Amino acid sequence: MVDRSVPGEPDSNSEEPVVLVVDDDEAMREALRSLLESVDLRVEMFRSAAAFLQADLPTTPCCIVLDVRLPGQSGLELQAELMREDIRIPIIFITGHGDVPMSVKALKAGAIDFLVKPFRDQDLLDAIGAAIELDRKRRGEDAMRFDVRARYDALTGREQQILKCVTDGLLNKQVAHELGVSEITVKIHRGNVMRKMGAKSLPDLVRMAEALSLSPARPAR
Amino acid sequence: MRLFRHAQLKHLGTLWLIGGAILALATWACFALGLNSATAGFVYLAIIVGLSLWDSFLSSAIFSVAAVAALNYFFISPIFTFEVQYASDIPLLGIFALTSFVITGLVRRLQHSTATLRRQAQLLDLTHDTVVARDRNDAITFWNRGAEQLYGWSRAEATGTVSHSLLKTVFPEDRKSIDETLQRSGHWEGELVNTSKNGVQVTVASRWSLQRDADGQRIGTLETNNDITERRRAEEVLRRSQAAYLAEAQKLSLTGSFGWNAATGDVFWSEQSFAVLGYAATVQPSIAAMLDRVHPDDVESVRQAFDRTSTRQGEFDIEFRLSMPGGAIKQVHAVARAMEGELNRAQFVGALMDVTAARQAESRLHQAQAQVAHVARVTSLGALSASIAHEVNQPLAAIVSQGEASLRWLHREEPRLDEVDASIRHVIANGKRASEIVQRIRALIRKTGQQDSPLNLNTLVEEVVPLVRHEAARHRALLRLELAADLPAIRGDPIQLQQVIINLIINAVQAMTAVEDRTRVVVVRSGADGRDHVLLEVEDSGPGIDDTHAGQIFEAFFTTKPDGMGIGLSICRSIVEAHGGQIIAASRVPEPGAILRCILPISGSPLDGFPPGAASSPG
Repeated sequence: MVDRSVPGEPDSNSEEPVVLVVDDDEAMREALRSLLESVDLRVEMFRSAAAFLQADLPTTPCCIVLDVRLPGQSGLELQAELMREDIRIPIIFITGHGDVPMSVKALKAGAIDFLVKPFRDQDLLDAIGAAIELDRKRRGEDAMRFDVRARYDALTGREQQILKCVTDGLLNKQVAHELGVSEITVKIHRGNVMRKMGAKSLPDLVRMAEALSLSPARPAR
Repeated sequence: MRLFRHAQLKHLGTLWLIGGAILALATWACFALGLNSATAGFVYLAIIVGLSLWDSFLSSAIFSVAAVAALNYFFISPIFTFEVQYASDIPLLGIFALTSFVITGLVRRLQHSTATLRRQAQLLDLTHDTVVARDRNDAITFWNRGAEQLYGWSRAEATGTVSHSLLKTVFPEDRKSIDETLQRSGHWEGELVNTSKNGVQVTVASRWSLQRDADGQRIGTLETNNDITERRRAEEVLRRSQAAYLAEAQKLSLTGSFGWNAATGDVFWSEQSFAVLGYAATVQPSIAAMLDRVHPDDVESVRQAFDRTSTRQGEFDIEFRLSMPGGAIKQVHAVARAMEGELNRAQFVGALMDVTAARQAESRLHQAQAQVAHVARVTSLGALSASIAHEVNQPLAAIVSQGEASLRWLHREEPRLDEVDASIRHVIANGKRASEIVQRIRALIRKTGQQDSPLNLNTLVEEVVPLVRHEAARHRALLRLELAADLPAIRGDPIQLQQVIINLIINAVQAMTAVEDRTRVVVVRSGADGRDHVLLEVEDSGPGIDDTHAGQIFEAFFTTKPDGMGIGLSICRSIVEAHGGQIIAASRVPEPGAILRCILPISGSPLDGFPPGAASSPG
């Protein structure tokens, strides 16, 4: 799973989104294909969870339209497996007859929407639009985080210390006291940090630091 | 004995005394008259003949010797001596002695035969049989006491009359042919009905014997008659009571009998046959009259059965309907076979059974069974409702999405009619698919299907799979089909058979709910045994069948499930058996699991047990 999770290109705004449809019913797959293609979405179709897991996943913004009831592994089980593998593609569930516990379970596990067949096309398209936007955003954040991490890694040890202290909200004087250096040294390092990280302002730098502390070191898709 | 001896001696003494006295008197008279020896001999001879009529040959012989001695002593010179002077007198004495002996002998034989005849005549009078002798003109010459007693005319009254006009005899056959038989063989036997003097009819077993003279000319007929009136009456009473019992039994069992001569077309119906056919007893029985009553739809097959039987002399076993005047319908079962010992085997005997009530009961039973099966079917469909709803919803969802997609294709700046076209085609296909499923459900909910149509088992399986596959998926069971190609057709009710398949699959799926350590698989398998059966097997990988339950699982209300009704498998069995098949359960080896196997006769096999129209109500 991990070996397939190739990091997307840093600039994914121009990428064509893909909708991944997993449904065992051929007629339903075909209907979804026609519907999504009519709004110029690219569609990939899978008849089972196993088929989905065996395929290469797209590197572009995407979402999964997933039937709850599938032969073999069910849609909910697939959702759980993707979470375990940290594959965070937004999921829109569709089902022939959803019940409340089932939809609660799916939404708690992070599903974007839970649509009961037959659904309004606009509901599905809205959910897909939202999901793709979310995925695009996530991908953007992931890419930014990757970029920030690279720049952060390029900082000297002292500069990293200064960045931590500054973004923790300490004043230059406090930083100088903390690190046992002169205030002027702190200012020089701080200017280097701002430049190397490409931060235009302190809040900008704070956001970068948040991204760094929140996200793990390895890049995610 | 002594008394007898005494009487005999007394009789002999009297005889001899009187005989001696008569001889002495005759001797004295002849001597006094001076008759010559020849004349005296004739006198003696007359006396000896007279005396011989009275008693035995010995006495006659003694009288003869005495007469010879007297003749010699008194009439042959020299007289008063027993000497003979002239040799010419010796033949006289000899001839006298010989003549007296011969005459007394003849008289004795005559007397003896007369006595025998008298005894025989007494015997004839002793018998109860009548003995009648007739001369050439049938005039009575002898009439025994038996005849007197039986007919009431005395011998004197009867003798000389023409016997059969006197007795008003009714002959069993033409009188001429009786005479021919008599002339040819000398005998005739038969039953006659006579009328006695007081007008009572008597039935007699009569034996005639022709009497001929030395030249073979017929001189008369001896007729002995044995009164069998009582026996005939008893037989008639017996026959009538038997006939009454038979008629009553036929009435009770609603079974009439009939006879039919295929060669002559003659038909006999018993009283009950008339009743079954609804004819008055005055109607002339005929095949045509029977066919008139046969239901128009059955006439042809009944006619063919008669034709077949009469030409091939086979047996006859057919069930058909009668259309009675007034519109009632009767179901009858007719069986017939050629009568044993009939040379041309054209004579048939048969029974006509009114089985309407039995068929109606069967029909009601079948209806009740069908109702139970229907309830069970609706119940099991209810349990499948989630799966079924899903199955119907799926194409509807596809239709909605395709419709919406086609609108979007249409309303693009550059409408894509090819995509619109494709979408609409999919809409149509999915609409049909949804409708087929609804029809299938509706068929299963219907009470009965086509009762007796040729069916492909594989098709039946394939049609129910959509209804149960989501139920299988819900229990995370794989449903696998292993259907044999080229299965021979079976006959029966497709809906009931599909009910069996659904029940068996659902049972298999539900049997595996506790299985976690191995794949839950239901295999539905079809096959042919190469002869006249097809097989349907439903195999699961569940815990198998507990040996203690093996004998019970097909019984109604037996269940191992906490919420089960125990109807499913018992319904399966009654349906399969109604189709002439059987259902058996076995444990799978070596892996755990159960196999439920239905064996069904193929269409047209001799074991094809689904009787055509058996389920339809009469009429």
